[in-house]
Amino acid sequence: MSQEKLNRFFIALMIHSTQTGVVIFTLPRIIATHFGANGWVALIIMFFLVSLNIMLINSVYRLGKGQSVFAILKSGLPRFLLIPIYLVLGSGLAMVGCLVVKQYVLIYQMLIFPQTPDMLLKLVIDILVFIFVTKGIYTMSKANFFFLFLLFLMIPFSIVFIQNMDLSRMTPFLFQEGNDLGKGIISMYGAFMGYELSIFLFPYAEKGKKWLKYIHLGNGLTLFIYLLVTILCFGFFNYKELVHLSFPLLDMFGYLRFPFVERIQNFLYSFFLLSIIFTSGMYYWCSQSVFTAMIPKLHWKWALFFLIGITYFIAYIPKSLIIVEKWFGFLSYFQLGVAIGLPLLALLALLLKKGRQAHA
Amino acid sequence: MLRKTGLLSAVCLLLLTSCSQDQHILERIGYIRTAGYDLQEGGKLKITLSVPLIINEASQTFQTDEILTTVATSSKEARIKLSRKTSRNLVSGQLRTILFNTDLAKQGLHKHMDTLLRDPSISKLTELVIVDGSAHEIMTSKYSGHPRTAQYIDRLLKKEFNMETTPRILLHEFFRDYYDDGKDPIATMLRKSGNDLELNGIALFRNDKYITKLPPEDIFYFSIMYQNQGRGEFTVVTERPEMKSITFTAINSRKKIKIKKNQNGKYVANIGLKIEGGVLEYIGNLDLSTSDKNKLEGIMSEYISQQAKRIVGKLQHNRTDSLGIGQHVRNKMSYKAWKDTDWEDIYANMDIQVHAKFMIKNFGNFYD
Repeated sequence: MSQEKLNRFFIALMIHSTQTGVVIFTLPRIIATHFGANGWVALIIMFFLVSLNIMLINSVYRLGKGQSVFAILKSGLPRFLLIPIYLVLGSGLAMVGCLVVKQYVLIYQMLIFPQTPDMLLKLVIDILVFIFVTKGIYTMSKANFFFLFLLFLMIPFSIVFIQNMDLSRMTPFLFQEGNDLGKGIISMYGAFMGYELSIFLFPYAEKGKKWLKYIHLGNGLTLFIYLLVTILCFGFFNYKELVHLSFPLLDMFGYLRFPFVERIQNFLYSFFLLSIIFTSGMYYWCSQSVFTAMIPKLHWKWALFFLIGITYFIAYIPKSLIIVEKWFGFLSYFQLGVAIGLPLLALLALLLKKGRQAHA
Repeated sequence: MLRKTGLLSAVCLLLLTSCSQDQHILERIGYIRTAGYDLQEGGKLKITLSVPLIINEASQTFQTDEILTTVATSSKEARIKLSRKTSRNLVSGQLRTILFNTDLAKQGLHKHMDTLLRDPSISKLTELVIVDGSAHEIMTSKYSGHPRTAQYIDRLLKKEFNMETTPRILLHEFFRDYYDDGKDPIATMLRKSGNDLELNGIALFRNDKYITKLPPEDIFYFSIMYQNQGRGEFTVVTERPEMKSITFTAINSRKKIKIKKNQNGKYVANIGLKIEGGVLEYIGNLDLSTSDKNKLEGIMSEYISQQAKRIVGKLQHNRTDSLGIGQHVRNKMSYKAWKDTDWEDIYANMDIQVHAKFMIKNFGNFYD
């Protein structure tokens, strides 16, 4: 059966899009708080750690000879073990997809629609996500190319910000006056999360191993964008002021002034809805693929509908931005588990299968 | 297909009805344009808000702005108190200028600035002005021959910033320099002079407290040390027969601050300035087309260096590091050394040299 294959470059863009999200607005502050002066250097260190993890996922593809991760797990591990793992995995992925939207919506509400209930805004975005995901992964990847093109149109603004930067403001110190390093590392790792979903893309990618490098490319693109934003913020403000700014990137955008419109920061924030729809859509898509693998008779669009619906009602529970960030903190551990645990589980399954074949 | 779109549009229409809480009808909203803060007894603030009226209402009341005044402890408390008096919904999204009275600034501005940082609708591009005298009086006066007061203040400041006659200081620069331990913030000063408003110098701060000011004659020399100038004009008047009065235009300047350690281990700063300009007016006995031009350039370089050194001396005496020498010294130290340094003390006694080099680009239309 000849199936359309995901373009390699689009896979890189998909990984990049899943990794970046609302975190780009708070990242400079988090780095300034936890890592201190010139803390952006920690991003480079984190990039290499993430690259190691991506290599682990790549090894699953190589050793599994391009099979889907569900096929690998099914052939290696017994069903009674897999059911609870799939349940936790699928629910966790759906919750991440849900909270990503909730966080965006809470900030949107704070900036632009203070009186409107946030769940109403979330409902509208969830409908958009549902329509987006039901088009299928190939259409999603093509749409993502267009989304990123629009977002990358904002990069030339950095020329304006560079003019206002002053290198002596960045100080020659490294990692001074940061606190709670552990929390900082978890938050920064959470910023790079999204690459672990590449494990679900195995059956949709082309045959051969060339496309695996493109996951690294997506990760590298994320590093580039994060470094650009963080270094600009460290030079535009100074690291002591960054600690007190909730959304440094929004403040920086607020400095732009066009002859026809005074402040476009809120409009630019609305552009990021495109990134959020893709991130959330990707997590929901992976979640429904887990549930569909578990219950083959379930039609994937119904699975998606129920996932979005149930998580929508769960999203009523966290009512403020702080609680959502706390939930994200817990989910970061879950994501770490998926990123490291799932490939390891798959490798274990492959090992067991090989062992069984050798004895047979 | 038709059923799907129909269902979707029905859902959307249903949702639209509940979005009515965040309506913004322009005529019903009072966009605060200018806010003024004066000190009152008991540590309270006298807060004056200027809200422009739409043309329809302005023609009815023969006024161009609605001025609201009250006494309160904080600016948002004042806004809530004043919203009981006006028929419009007061919002801060279009705040253009904030005026602080000098007495209030002397006490320290940080606690009054909390809402300026916290409120997401207040832009960092808002102008910050320190006024000699009462901010209330400046905002409520009418200046004949000038546009309506709030607009007059805003346009005067914007023009001065664009022409680079004074450094552009908005909320962003003020907060950024306030939080930086190697630099102290500055602000523009304004005062009422007869029937006009006048730019009255630069307010020098130490952290968030107003210390003293530089008079308008010194603004140019401070400005060329503060930033690289791309435009501007200035006049020099002396007793010397070679240079009774000379005015330059199209100023282009570059500054460079170098820090070195002398034999005693103390830090020495050297501010190097390269300035070029075209002559617009010259009253003196030299001929600019001959080698006298070099003589004049030498005199100008010396004069500028002297004036700049005098201003640096004033900054050091008042312990206000407005030029950011501390940032450059910090670049030479390790973190521990910088933290152990009492920068204010070192700055006050530091040897700071200024060397200016002036070049005459052209001497205008008149050949002498």
